[in-house]
Amino acid sequence: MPLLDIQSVGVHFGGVSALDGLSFSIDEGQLAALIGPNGAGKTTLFNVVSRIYDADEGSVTFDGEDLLALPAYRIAELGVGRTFQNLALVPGLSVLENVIVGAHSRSTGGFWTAALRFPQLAEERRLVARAMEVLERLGLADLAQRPCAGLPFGTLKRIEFARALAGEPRLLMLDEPASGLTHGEVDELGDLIRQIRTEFDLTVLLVEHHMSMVMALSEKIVVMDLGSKIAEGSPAEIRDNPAVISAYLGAST
Amino acid sequence: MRSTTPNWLRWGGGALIAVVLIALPFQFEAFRVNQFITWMCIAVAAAGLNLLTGYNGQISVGHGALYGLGAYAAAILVTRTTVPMLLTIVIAAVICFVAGVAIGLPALRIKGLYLALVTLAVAVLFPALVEQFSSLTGGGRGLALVVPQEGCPRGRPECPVRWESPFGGLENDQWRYFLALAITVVAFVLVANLVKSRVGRSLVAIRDNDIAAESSGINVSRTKIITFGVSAAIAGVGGGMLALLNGNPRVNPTSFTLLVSIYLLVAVVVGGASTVIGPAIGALVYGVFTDVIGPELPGRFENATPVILGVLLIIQMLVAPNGIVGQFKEIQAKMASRRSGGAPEVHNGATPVERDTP
Repeated sequence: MPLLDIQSVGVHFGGVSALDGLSFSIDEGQLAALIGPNGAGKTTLFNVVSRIYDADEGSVTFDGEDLLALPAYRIAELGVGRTFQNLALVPGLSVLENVIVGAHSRSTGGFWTAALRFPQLAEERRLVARAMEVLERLGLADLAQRPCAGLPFGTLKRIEFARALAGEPRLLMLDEPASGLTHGEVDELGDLIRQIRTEFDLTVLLVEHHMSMVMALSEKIVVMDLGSKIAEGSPAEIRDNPAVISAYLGAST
Repeated sequence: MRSTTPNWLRWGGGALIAVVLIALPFQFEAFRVNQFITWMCIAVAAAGLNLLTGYNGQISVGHGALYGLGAYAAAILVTRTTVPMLLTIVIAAVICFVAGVAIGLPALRIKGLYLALVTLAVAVLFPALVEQFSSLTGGGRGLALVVPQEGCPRGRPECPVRWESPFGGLENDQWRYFLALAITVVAFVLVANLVKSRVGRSLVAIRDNDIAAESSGINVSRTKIITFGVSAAIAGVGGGMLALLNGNPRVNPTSFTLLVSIYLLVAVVVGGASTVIGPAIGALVYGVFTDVIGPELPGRFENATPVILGVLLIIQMLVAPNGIVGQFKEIQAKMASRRSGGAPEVHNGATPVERDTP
């Protein structure tokens, strides 16, 4: 059984179809990439899986669980973590606190226990230690106490990565993690993703425009255009697929 | 962020403030002590509002009404039941929690200015409601605080609420002052614990980026609603304190007009939104201004106090938009980074308000 199964998903905004009958699946442990020109619907799909958008038709299951039946805040708890294309950090919190927020679904404590403080002390220590581990792993430990505001874009992307990892996901969805990075940094990020995936035992779904990174990393590539899947396969298969070349280069087939 | 305040300053400053707070009622006459008590009530109510507006980003212009609800609830309970007096404040808080949740329900659909408008309606409605239920509230005449007790028929003005100190040597006003101080300290400690916890982080996350909050697993709707309730409950505690402790044997609807809602907001902003101690500083500034400086102004400025307060507020927004405590923290952070010779802590104003991190 696949870990993430997308079946005939459609999302329509007025007359525009952002997603139209999209189906594909990812197996546990796979590193898959979702590529396609801008506007193909890649981020829309992420938003459907994290329940920010409602799907008008189709089904999305994660490890057999029907995601579309759940509210957005339950998704992290099931083990789906993500980053955002245009960053969704909390500027009012420090880097460390942002990462701890990522572990929200892995922690407990409500208003009462928080106000009384002592029932929470051990939990707080555990959360801080865990978040520091993740920050260290991503080379961000020095920034832990800094506010997020004012840090460079690439660093902020990495903090989002750390936040997603703090939620102990099984499936990690990365939305253009390499955007805004230099060539050297892109290679580094590729290695990092590969290592993290092994260390944390992750299934990864990657949206990315850096083709060299996608080709080097992925075991499976799904190509989208105008809300639908136009190809699916190994990097080698995708490279020679005429439909893909046409979508990217606009060449007639 | 860890606080940059050195430990000796922290403990020394804390001890100094404690000494001043304890010495105050012995240094001033009863009427001044009663004013101090009122300032504490405002500080507590503002702390409740700060939780909602400062930390959670839900603007309420209606907390004066919740403050009033707390006051009336405590006053009515004291007058008509034999519930112990301090317990009436707890019950008032529970009632305000429920009212806060009810008022907060629209906040699930609307935000920002639209939410402010809904809460504004609550503030405007409150005095009318007091009038409507005048058999319970005393209407425009106010509600006299009398205690049902033996040998004294219920609801008769001969038996006003009294706060006799159980210890010798303390005047009534001094005893009330210390009761109010104790409640205030407890309220601020609870809020301080709350904001630096998992819940506090959720509040800020929802304020700054609700989509990020939701995908991190925070139940945004539930948290917003409960925050509204808790915020209202704290405001209600402030109101209950005002009704029972400030020395005035009568609760008047004029104490809970729309203007009071706005003053609470002013106290939060002036002191420093999203800082723990900000609302207390804001309440102090407001109190000093209206009760100490205001009456000293020459006669022709008598009615000008709100105008002067307004002008000062505008100046502050230009000079120190993060409030007094926020500004203080900023200066401290700058000095700390200069001392360590490191790169300055960049804070380019992406946050609407700086968050307190004790």
